[in-house]
Amino acid sequence: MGRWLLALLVVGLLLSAWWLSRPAGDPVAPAVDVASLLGGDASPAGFRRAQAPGRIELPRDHGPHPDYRTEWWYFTGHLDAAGGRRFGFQLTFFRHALFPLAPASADSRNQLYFAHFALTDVSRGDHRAVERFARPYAGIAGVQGAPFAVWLDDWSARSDGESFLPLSLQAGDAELDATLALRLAPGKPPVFHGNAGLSAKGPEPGNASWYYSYTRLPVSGVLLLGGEPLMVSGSAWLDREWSSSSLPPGVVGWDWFGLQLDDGRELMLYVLRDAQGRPQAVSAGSLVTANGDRVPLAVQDFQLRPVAHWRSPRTGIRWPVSWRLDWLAEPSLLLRAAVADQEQDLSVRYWEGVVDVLSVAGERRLGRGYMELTGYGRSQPNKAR
Amino acid sequence: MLSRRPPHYQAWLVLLAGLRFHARHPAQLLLTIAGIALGVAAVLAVDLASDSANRAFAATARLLRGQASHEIVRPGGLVPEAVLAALRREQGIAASAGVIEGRVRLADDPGRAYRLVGRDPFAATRVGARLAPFGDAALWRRLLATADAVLLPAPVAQALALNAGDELVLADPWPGRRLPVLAVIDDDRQRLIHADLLTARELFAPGGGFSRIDLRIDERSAARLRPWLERQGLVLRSVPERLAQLTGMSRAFRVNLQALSLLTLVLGGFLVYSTVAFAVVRRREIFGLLRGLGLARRQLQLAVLAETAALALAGVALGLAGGIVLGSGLVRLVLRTISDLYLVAAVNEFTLSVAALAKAVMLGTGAALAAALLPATEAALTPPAEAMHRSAPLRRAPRRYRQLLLLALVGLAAAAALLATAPALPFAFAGLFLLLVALALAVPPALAPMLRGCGRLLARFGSLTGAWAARGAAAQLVRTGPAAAALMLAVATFSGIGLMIGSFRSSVGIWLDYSLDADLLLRLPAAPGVDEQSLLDELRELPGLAGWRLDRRRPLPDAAGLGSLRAVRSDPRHGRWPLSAVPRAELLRSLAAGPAVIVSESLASKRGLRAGDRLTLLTPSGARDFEVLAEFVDYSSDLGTVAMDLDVYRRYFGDRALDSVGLFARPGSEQQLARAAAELAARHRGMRVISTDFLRDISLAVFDRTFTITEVLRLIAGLVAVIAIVNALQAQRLDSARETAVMRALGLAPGQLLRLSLFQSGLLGACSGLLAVPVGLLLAWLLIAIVNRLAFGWSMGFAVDVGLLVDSVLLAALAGLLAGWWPARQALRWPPARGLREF
Repeated sequence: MGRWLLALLVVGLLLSAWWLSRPAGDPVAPAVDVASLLGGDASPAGFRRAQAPGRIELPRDHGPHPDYRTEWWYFTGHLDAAGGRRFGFQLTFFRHALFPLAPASADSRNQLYFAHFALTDVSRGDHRAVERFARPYAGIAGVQGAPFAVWLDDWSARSDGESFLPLSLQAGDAELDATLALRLAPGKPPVFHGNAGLSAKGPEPGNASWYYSYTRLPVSGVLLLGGEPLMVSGSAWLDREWSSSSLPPGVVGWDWFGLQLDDGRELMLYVLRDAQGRPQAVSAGSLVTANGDRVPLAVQDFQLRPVAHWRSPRTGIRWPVSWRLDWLAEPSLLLRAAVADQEQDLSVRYWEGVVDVLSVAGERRLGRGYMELTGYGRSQPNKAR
Repeated sequence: MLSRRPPHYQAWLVLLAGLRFHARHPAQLLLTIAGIALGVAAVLAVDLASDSANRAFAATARLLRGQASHEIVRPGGLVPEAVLAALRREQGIAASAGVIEGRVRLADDPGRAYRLVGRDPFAATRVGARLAPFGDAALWRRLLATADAVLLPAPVAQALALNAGDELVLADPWPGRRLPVLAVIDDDRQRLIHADLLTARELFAPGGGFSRIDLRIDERSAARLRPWLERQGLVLRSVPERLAQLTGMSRAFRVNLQALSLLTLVLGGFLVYSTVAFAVVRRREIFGLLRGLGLARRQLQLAVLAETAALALAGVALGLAGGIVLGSGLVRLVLRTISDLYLVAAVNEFTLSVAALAKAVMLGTGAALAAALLPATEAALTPPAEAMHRSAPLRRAPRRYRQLLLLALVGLAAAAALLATAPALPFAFAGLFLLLVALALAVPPALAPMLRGCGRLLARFGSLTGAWAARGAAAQLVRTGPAAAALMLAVATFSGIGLMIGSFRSSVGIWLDYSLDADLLLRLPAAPGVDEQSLLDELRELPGLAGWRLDRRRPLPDAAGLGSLRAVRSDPRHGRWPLSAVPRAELLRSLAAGPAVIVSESLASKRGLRAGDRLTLLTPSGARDFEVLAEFVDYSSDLGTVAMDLDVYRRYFGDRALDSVGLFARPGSEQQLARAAAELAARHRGMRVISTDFLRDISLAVFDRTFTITEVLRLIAGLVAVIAIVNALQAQRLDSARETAVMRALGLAPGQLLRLSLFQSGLLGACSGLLAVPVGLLLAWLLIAIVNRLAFGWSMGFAVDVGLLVDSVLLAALAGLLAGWWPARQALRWPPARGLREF
């Protein structure tokens, strides 16, 4: 009898402990679902579309295009420090118009800037990413064409002089415990993808983006990591893209590769895929020769097959982190993530990080690159922090 | 023999007997259960209300902690926008967010100011702010992109009868400007409007600037920023410090609620006790019978306790349900009061706390079992033959009275010591509680001589039956004592709290009279500003104007930013200040002469300020000391008010804005002035004329709402009183069934007997009520002189409402009469022979 009572008491105590320790309503819950804020209604009506006639003009088009829905300044790169330490960095500035046809006076109301800053410490197998949002009032965020500058807080990309290059990148974050100050020198000339920069994203006209890249820019500077200053140098890649289109029906995501081969060539590939993983006909790419000429690649010119996956313990998503690339008549390549976990669990969840370009047997390194994987796992985007 | 049977068989017998008894007296059963239920419900309801108030304050604390560690403000103005950019771009402070807020008045509700708060959702997430439950992303997209769009908290939308898709029409600033209501959101704060930062910027700061910048930084960064900010005339203040002050302020409110819950506990406990005690007492004869049949004492005791536990369970279950219903109502009241008085986070949902439930359950079962234990033990100990008589054993009464009196005296001494030295609110409440319990203990010993005195008085006037009834009532006090004590306590609470509120209200009324002494108030728009000189020129032209007073109000510019600052300048022809403490011309001259202020007594008591001390305020040119000249009475806020001369204010703060102008009419020309002022206001955008009578009404309405919960509690106290006395007097009636029978056998008519019985119970009620008068007065005086002084720093006059006291005595007598009627009718229904045979 006594034992029963004791057992009952213990159960009761446990129950009340459970009850009392249940988490109370979190007062700092997510404020707003940024990803769906960006998505909005998918209709691009009212925005300018990327279509002919029209052409990219530089340096004008380094600057903003507020009549298009979305654009980005997408810097990635590889950095080497003393002692063989290797890093990858990503600093991306996005501009997004919430609504078309906003009254002229309400520009800062309608425009949203966000930026992602990520650092991969390849030698230590560590990857971290943070994001920031801001609207362009009080000078806290903005973009200007000449001289070029885009900034959000103290993250910025800014031309040093009147010309676009050289250009300084600056970003730091307490969470990452890292600050990056880089100088991007002129390297290869810009490459205009698709049809003179008009890059189709769907079969119908207008479902396209304006897209050009600087595929190899010598970079040098300082990485302050954990309070330790590291002198770094390497090569960077800038993708510039603006459009008002959304993914065509049936397309769930894309895989993008920007590869810098050791023989002086670069390769940009993107594959739009459906739910079954089949590449869409508009998937394409560019091969940039050592002297800067562009060879367009169509969907039939290359084939990408995942050969290894990594499952994220955070999100449960199975990311294809190694790929076999068969292309043209060239020897096949193995594209393998330098660090498996380069998942970016931000408002928009994606995988973006450093890949090694290897011979297909994996014994020789032939270059390095950046890979971007989107649309994997659960279809809902992540909530904002 | 029964005792040889298995024990459970005997226990069954007692329970069966109980079951039969209850089946024959369903009303009795219901009353017992209802008594327990009401006690439990009252305690639970007040606890839940008190809980939700605590959660509201805790949520505010968490919210503020999560939201920002520091904030940047500029004394007397807006923080320049460039500061935010510099913070983010040069100082590397990413966790920073500008906030713009201001007061608006609405065309539909011009009497009240609303706070419109503009935040940038993206910046706000940097400082960890939750933007209230603001709904979905689509809504946010629209809020960001729609000009002038606002979101309304549900109570605001309800009060203004607006829905999503409607428009708010501004009266001030920007009269006539329409703000589309995008959605009604799940936020239960009052007088608050949410908007995007950029919307608020257009309304309040078209030239740029923030009301403040929220930061989330550590102390090291704060120390680094402080000199940088000070060079720009900006002040960095720590939110936890402000929060500590805020929670210090709100503690008074919470302790008040806790005291109410404690009082309810006592009343509830009394109620349960008297209810159950009666139910057991009624069956003494059955217990005697069972004992006579050989039931062991212990078995009887256990069986009675088991039965009581079953009853208690039913009562508690009902009480919990009732308490939840009553509590959800109280929670709304309390939260409304809190959001009226303090700015706190929304606690929308009503949640049950395990502690409150457990407390209520323990009270219900504990008091019931304790109540049953005594009579059960008594029944067990009483020789069976005596127990079978219905009349109570009264022999032990005098000794018990002496013990009670002794206990009461000890309690009184302790209470007096506590109250006299109370350094803080909890001590004062402990003293108050102890005092009430001690006085309740003294009720039976005090009532006995009172009733006997009545008996002698009646005998002298020749009413022998009356004298007999009074003496009978005195003799029955052993049974009715707890009920009478409960009745006294309930009535004293009823009148004491009523007196306190009445006193407070009359003090507030007096205060409103002199603080709203002008005939009309000209409310000036915040933006666009009004040119003072041309306004004064226009005022001089007004027919019927005797004088005016210029008024500027703003949050107190000190490190905490709580409380308010009022700067006043009177028209030389009408040299009054709206503050009672300042009738002396000499004081007015000192105020006008230099850096000097007068402070409200609540501020003085909170900060320990006296005349001659110095108060530091933050001016745009740095911190400055102001001499405190005097205290004044101010009920407008328990956060405190500082008042100074307008010219002195302008000299030190460089702020030339005005909020209102008070207009004084020449006697007899009030109507004329009102018409002229309305015409003047119509010529200026955003200017409005308000009659001070209207403001007075609004102020009193807020006051009354604040005390609604107290009123509800008074009502519960009244209910407890009635039920307690009904139960107790029934017990007494039944105990005296034999007397009734004897008297009827002696030839008293049923009508006579009924009157007699009513007289007896009415007398008991009235005597308890009379005892409650001094106790109520004492309670009210203690609440006014000690509790409110400690809680809010407010002093108030003691206004004795004789009508209320008379009412409470009448209430007690009425409760007695009501209680006597039904049992008397019951007793009369029995033929006298049966009553006599019962022994």
